[in-house]
Amino acid sequence: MSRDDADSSLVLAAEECEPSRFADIHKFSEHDERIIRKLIAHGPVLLQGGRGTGKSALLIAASQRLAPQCPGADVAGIYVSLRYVPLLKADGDDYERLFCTWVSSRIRDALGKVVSFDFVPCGNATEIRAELSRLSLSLAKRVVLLFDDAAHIGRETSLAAFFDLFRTLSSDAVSCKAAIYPGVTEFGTRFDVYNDATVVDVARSPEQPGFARLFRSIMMARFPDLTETRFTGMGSERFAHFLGATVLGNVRGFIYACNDVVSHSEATQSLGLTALTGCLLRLSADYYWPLLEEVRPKLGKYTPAAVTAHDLAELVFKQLGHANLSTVLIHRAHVNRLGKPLEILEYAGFIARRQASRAMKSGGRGTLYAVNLCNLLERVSGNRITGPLMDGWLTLSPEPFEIHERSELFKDVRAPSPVAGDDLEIFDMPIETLRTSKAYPYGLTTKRIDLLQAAGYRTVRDLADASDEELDDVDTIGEKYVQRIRAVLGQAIWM
Amino acid sequence: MSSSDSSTPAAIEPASTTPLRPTPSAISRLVCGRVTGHSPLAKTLSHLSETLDSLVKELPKPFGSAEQVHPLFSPFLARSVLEISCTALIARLDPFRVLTLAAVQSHADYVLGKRAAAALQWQGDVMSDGKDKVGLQDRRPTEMSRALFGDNVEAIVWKPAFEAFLDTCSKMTLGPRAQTLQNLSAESFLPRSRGMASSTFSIASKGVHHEFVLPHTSYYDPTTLEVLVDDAMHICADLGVVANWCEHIPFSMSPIEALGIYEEIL
Repeated sequence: MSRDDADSSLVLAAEECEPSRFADIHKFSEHDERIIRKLIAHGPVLLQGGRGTGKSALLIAASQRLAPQCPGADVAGIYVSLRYVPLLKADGDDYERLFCTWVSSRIRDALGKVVSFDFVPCGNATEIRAELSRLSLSLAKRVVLLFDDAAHIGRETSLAAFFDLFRTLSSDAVSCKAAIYPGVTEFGTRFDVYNDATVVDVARSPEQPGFARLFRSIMMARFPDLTETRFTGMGSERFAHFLGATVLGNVRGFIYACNDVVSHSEATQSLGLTALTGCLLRLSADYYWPLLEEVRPKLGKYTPAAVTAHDLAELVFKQLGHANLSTVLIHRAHVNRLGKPLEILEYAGFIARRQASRAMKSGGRGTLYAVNLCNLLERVSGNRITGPLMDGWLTLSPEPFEIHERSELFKDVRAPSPVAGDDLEIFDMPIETLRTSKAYPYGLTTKRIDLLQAAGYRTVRDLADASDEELDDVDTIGEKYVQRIRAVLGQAIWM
Repeated sequence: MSSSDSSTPAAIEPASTTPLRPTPSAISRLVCGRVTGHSPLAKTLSHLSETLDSLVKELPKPFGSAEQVHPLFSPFLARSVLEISCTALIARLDPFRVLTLAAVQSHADYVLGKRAAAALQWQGDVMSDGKDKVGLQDRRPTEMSRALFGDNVEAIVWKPAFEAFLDTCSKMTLGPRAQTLQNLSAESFLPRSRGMASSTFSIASKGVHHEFVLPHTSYYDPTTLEVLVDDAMHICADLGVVANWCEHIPFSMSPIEALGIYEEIL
């Protein structure tokens, strides 16, 4: 499969999926269905989860069960992606104006062909609130606004403005829901996260009932050619269970892993421990470590924290590899001091928080994290998955590796200070950054980059600011490739 | 009321193991505890437990036996479950408050048609009336808020109980609901529960007071009602299970029993 074809079949991000294919390839557990009901129901909700945990899929699934997409529904719902570059740079009144303009245009698009309601473009919160109220009355339905990509770790100044609007727009007639990252803690002075919304965590852990079934159903939906007879030494459900646990229940990581297994094996080759070993080692080298590199330039003032995150990951995985343990209990003094680097590791899927506070044998309390098994396997003696190793890793160890308050391990790890300004480094990087690579497996080809450069596009900002029509005008770049550029930009800029 | 020096509720054994009535519902056992004996507190909690069971029976499946949510009655049921559960927890954590009310209600002067000054109030007894925003120093006991979701009760009861709960949980294989609680810090457990309780109470109250001048289906669509009932049950279950780890709470259960009952509530 060529890279040019690959991205059309391997949909990693739900928001890039064709609506007609969505239901076929997105599968949900009972817990997910409960979350979807909360997204449809009255009341503000913040959906919290790291990259690739499935937040967008849940928001889109909710919107598909609401009018106008589901014409008979009691409630209307509109999915609004806030992937709009000017919003990233704005703050205060500017943010409000851009937000309202963008959101009203998205609502107009969503209603467009199916509902005869002229949603008037709005420039401020009062106007859009009134317009939403008018829409609700006209449809005789409550309206749910599902905001995706609402928060960007690297650009926190706009968060207060966003949460202000989230609160202002929420009413009996309008329910607001938004996807955020675990590292989002800046809610502004007017928004109380526990009183103004219900926070729902989308994390999935292998100990949850239905975990194996869910991941098997995702695998089979995405890769229907994987027949049961191909799995040796274990059934497809155990295979999916382990692969899901490997990536800490991260759906995007899991799809990437399944694709890796399929693309590195012949159609008739059996899939067992050897295939899993190869897959995990490749994921570590080609997916996880490059992901930290990809994340770094979009962290704004927290860019230095990415370097510390890398160092922390090296230290932790080395120790856990020696001890052959897949969980680490870190004293809260370190968790507080190194909060941002740990959030980055959590965001990138290196670690997942399993217990917020737990007593340590060495005294005090700490946070328990599970680590991804790809990076762990790199550090385990022999670098090979065996049956006993698999069994051990599928059980949450009662005795995790402890990093106590005075641990020598973190002695030299300094808490990084945020840098001045919060512009994202990625905008000023050359467009060669987006070339197909480990960080951007579905990036731009050299030929297209040359063409874009010849047309005057030098930086990522130039590309991000260009309209679809302007990109379409570049020689040999058509509508399909414009979509690909948008997808790569989406990966590069947005969290 | 029993008290104990032991670090886990497992060591607290009831004087008698004979329940006052057979098989209360899971939510009732969690918030009222393992009620035994014939003390005034036991009688009060048994009454609350029976009332709670009668309400739960009317809830839609999987909690009760109704086939579907009823737009007129579900808000009443959700709010009642929340109110009675909070009353039961107040009774166990602060028996004086509820036993004095019981005394008032059993007095000959008590009349149904007149508001009793001692009646439990959502704002004041359950949610803080703001008295706990200032430190306890230099405050008389009558000036200290004892609200179930207030900062004082959080510091004295909920935070230590939640930490003890987490420590027990870290040594056990848990079901999905307890795992969700494990991802909360001791600092966020009560604010989260308070926010959810407050919002659930408000949404339900609109239906109880019949505030809507528009058809209620515009606001109380089936999914909203399902989530309303679900939230009410789960807030009460969260509080009920964690309260079991409060060292001085009466009628507590063993950790295994409490967690087992907690997981029964889907």
